[in-house]
Amino acid sequence: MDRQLHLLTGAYALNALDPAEREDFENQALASQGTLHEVRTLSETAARLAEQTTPVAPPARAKANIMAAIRDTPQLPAVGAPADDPMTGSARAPEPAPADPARRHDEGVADLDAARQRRAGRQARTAWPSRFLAGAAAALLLAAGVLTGVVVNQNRQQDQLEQQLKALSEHQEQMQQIFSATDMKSATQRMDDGAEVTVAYSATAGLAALTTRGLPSLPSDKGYELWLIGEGGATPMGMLDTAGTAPKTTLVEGAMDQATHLGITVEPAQGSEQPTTDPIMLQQL
Amino acid sequence: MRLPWARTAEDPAPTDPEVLIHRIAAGDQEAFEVLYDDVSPRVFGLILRILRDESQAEEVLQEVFVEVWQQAARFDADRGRAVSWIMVLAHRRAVDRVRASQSSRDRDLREGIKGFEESYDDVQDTVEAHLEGERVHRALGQLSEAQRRAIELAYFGGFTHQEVAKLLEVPVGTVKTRIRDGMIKLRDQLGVA
Repeated sequence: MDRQLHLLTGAYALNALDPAEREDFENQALASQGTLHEVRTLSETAARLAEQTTPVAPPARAKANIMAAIRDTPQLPAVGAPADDPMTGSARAPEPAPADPARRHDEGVADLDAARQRRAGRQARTAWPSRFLAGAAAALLLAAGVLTGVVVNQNRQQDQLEQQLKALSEHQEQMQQIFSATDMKSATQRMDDGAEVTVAYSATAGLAALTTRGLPSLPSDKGYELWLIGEGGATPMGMLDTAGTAPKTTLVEGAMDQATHLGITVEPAQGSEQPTTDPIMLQQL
Repeated sequence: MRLPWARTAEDPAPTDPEVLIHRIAAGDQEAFEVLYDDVSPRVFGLILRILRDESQAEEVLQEVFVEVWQQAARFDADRGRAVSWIMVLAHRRAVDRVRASQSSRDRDLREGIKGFEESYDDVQDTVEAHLEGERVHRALGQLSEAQRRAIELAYFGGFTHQEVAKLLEVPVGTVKTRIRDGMIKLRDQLGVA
């Protein structure tokens, strides 16, 4: 069924899709450079719309609260590359990267490769199964609405709901980060058995999104594991969620500037430290 | 304490949001404060327009700026302007909140559109004061009335395109096209590449 998902670029840029539609759109949009370009430019256009809103000075207590909040809030490190000079966007250290003293200083270690691999491993994670969460969130909303008598549970449900929405929102933020990266590249591979894998990635954002369609289902003790491959070997990036027949998107975070390929192998369900089988897919970055 | 006259002449405009973000990424709270003072009225204006509730808008404002603090190192200057980045964060947070909050769940769409249009009229009067706003305003004027309404309901009303279709009593497919065609026209008018 052609649902003309590519026509949703405008609504997507305006945050006007519900979570299920958003996921369907993202799964499809990744495979098309044209659609991705449209999303990126329309998102920037949407941000300009914000500027025709009348500024309103927030109350002074808001500033006091925020300044207090950031003092206790750790900052996230840059992903994938040393921080660029924002004025030029081009101050990245030339190859070879291990010579970058700022980075070494930040990491506090001399062995940059090891640090990067540790970090990539730490940051590798699959996206929340957002369709499930959307369903759960809707169910919770319904429950919260119907069971007005059950006051005790409501706060907890509200908390859970908020956490789920937050996870969804994080997923969406990362997807938009990929969509809007100027160095975003995508490629689709079709396997002999008809399965398709689309990879969209941005080295500056340090993010990749993989959409799989129709990968053969595996015995329950096996799974598809994703690898980031560079001169130093393969770094495990987590297991792919391929359950069901619908296209699935997995988001991975990690330093891509040193990697040359993304690969998928079949591994034990809990994953391996290093690949133990030949890759079923290898995508050059 | 930094003294204003102690700055050297070759400092690039030290209050450029892009420069500030760079300093914030290195943990500079003073830079954060300067950025907050500069940008927060615009961010708060947008959030308030979407949520139309002061105390919720304040909470969302805090979420947004804490996120700016946390994510500053991940802001990619190649991708666009720092203010746009913050506005995108703010819009998403505000829309999430409007859809999640108890009151919005029950919100009567009719009431929604009425309140929204009233707040829009207020904005018309003051927007001319704002230069970039003026450009956007003029670009919006180039759209068909139907396109403009669909885009504004979605962006400032926080409605999904399905809800916009219900509000305007037109098929979802029509809204989808109106929003996309309108946004493309707007993009081209504003010269966003």
